[in-house]
Amino acid sequence: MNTKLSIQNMNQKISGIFRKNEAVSVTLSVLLFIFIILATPYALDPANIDALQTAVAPYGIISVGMMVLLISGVFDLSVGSAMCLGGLVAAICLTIGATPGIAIIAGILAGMITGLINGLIVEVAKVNALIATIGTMYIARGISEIVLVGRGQAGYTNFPESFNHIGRGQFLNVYFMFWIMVALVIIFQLILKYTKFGRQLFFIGGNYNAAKQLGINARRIRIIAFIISGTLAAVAGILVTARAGIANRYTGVGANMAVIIACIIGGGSLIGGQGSIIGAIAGMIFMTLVSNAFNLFTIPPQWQDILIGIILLIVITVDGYISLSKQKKLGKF
Amino acid sequence: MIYKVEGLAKKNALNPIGFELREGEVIGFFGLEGSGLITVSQMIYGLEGKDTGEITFKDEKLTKLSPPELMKKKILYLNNNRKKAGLLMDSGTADNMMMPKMDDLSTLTILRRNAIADYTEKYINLFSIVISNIFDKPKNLSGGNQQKLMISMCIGTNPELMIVNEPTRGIDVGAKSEIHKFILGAAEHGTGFIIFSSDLPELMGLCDRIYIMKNKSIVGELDGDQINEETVFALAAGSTS
Amino acid sequence: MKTGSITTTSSMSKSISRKRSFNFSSLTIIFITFALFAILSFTSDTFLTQRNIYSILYGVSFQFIAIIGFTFLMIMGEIDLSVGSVYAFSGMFMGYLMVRLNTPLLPAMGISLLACGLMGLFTGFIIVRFKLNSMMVTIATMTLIRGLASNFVNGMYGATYPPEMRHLSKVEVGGFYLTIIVMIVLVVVFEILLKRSAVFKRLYFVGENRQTARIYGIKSDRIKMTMFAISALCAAIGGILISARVTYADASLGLGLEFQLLTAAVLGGASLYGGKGSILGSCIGLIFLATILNGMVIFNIEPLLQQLIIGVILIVSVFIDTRLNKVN
Repeated sequence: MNTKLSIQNMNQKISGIFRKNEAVSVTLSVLLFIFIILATPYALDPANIDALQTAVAPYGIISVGMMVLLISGVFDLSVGSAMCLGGLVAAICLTIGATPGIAIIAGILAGMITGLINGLIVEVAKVNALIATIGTMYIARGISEIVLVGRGQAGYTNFPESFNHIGRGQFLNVYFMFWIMVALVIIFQLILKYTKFGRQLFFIGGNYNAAKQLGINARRIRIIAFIISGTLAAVAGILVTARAGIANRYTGVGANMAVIIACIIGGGSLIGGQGSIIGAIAGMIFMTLVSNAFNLFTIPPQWQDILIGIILLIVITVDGYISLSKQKKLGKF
Repeated sequence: MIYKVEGLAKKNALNPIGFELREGEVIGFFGLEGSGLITVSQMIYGLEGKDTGEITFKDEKLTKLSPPELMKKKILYLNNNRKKAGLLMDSGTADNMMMPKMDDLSTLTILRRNAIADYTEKYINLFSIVISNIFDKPKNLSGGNQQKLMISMCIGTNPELMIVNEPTRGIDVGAKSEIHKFILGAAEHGTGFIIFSSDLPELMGLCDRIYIMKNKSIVGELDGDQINEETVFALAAGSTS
Repeated sequence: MKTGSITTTSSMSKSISRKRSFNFSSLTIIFITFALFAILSFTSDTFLTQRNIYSILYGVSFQFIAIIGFTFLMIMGEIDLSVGSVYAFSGMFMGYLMVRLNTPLLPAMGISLLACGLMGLFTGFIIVRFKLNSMMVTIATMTLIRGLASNFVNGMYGATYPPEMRHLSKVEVGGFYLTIIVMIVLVVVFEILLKRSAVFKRLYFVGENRQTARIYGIKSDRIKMTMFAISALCAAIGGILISARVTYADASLGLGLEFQLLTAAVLGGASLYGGKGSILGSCIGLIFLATILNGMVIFNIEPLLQQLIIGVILIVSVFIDTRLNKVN
């Protein structure tokens, strides 16, 4: 096989696709934002801006990790459970007297371990990512539940103020968690575009076997991607727990689907090999704006699902159609 | 002339080509990698779409180019990569054999087990396929036996025309010559063959006429005595002007 | 017969075996469930009572209907994540028609089933036409249909379904619930059909290698589209029955059903990569999962531990299965 040619092909595929993916979700978000601002004065109300930030940031952070995974050709359904676990571990540390610093590290560690386990099950034991992460989702959620037995509805509370401040504090009127998200977006967007690791992620997602033949250690890279996903999920969990001042069993429920949907709208694909961090965040911003708009205009929430479902269908179908036409032009099909 | 292709083309995949198969002939297509061989074979069988082109079989225009329709007209296809597509490596040999012939081997959609077993055995014997149990999986057979199995699957439907890709790729000499003998014999009995192969000696031994392809076009047609390695390679590799 | 110059002498016809090797893909799950039953029977006197087993089977019979179409799709190598949403939608839609629009039982059922079938057909159509990934598309339809279903939850204002509808889940034949009888009958029927019917054999062929099936004239596109419609119909029928049992429109109905069905099917021998699976296996898989929950209730184990155990079992069983059947 002419490896030079295939690297070239891969590179072409990457640069061409980059442009398209982000365009959709960014455009949608911008349009929607403008629409909302024009349609109601409450949109720019400080309370609303606050709500937007704290809604986007946690899931946005998780989306960064999820997009990294999607690009490499897999995904992680356990992020919601990892999110809960991360916050819970931090909360427990605080309750037994640890400093916020230690608690945070412990929580992040919990996320890293979850990610590592996912990575090992998928890449070493060769269990399909869907099944593996459903399994770890159940297991992590189960562990959370067991730990919370007997603590009542509230779970763990009464954290030191310094800890809560992490989730509630702002810098220049923007929440810390939002800054963290922005920083992560920038860092990972740069990693994807300009580092070898980033290129390799795309190769693996585009054609796993070809990537291995080119000498890329696909297994190790995917495991790293899983660890990133788990870690970021835990980070989001810690932030959410800090802000709420409570660690209970409901954290992160439904997060996995919301994040995956945001990433798909943002240009990612469950098949792998495409996507961008900006797209993922734009997708998440879009979905949050939709939710916000529905609140502002008091539209019943189920229409949200209907709208998101329709948009997803359109995005997936158009993406598929474009991909099909491209391949037809190249002479396949 | 029983099979004729005119103006078959597709943007970026195939320049317009035309060829024909006459009564009792075995024709071949030779080309190096990238010349368009596989494209032509897939297009005429409906596995790949075409932009333009008309195919006539026994004075009837083939309007619907799809495997089910072509199989109805007794045109069968042999793929060049049996592992990728051509054999179900992980299903029993009998299962593979019945695939192209399911309707014939079933009553009211219920498969007739004995008929299937008989049918499978018949071709195992006919081709001397080395296998101990009709439910053995192709992945456990040797390359030559796998290929023979794949050919049996097509032959069992009594085809009138077979589109064959690389009939003896990667198999031992013994099986190779058996398959060649078979093709010649079947041709004698009236089955048409269009053989796409990168194995020139094979084509020279089997075909009455050979079309040579290069860069997605037909660059030559050699008949009988005209066929020799020099001429063929000159056309196939040739200097790119 | 065109034999040409290949000689067929009778000496070449050695005796070839026709014995099918005993390859029962559902064997593992049957064995494990048996073991589970045995353990529970020995350690508890409330488990092996007719009443208890009966209630397990009754509970399973609703999800079973839904898993039939789901399993067919898995055999073909596809997945339908919208089953949970359709499961919720069908009963709620029918209930809404009957309560708010005064539609009689049969037309209401017919309209709901028709709607669900069309939704499935649409899903199958776009997947086939644009060559899309079924997981992604059904995530989208899952969201969409859940939204539609939620509409009916609101529209019902918590009203209960009419008695004729509620009775559907309680129909008895000879002292046994009809749903259980249907389940047992269908398991037997499909177990036979999947092995011996040309129509169902094709599912396995397409699931194992779509290209190969296509070469030999199997119309994989059409079959796929049909199966998506059937999956939706199965989920719809099961959904109507479960709604009848639950008696009102519950917004949480069917949440996570797709993962439950996936777990049960995979435990029962189906593979995400296609080419494997059986209705019997899926059914036993459901029974296994239900029995674990039942056992936990009997022993007063925190039901939340159930998730954990199921997660571990799922991963372990797939791991073992991958090891045993290394194809690639």
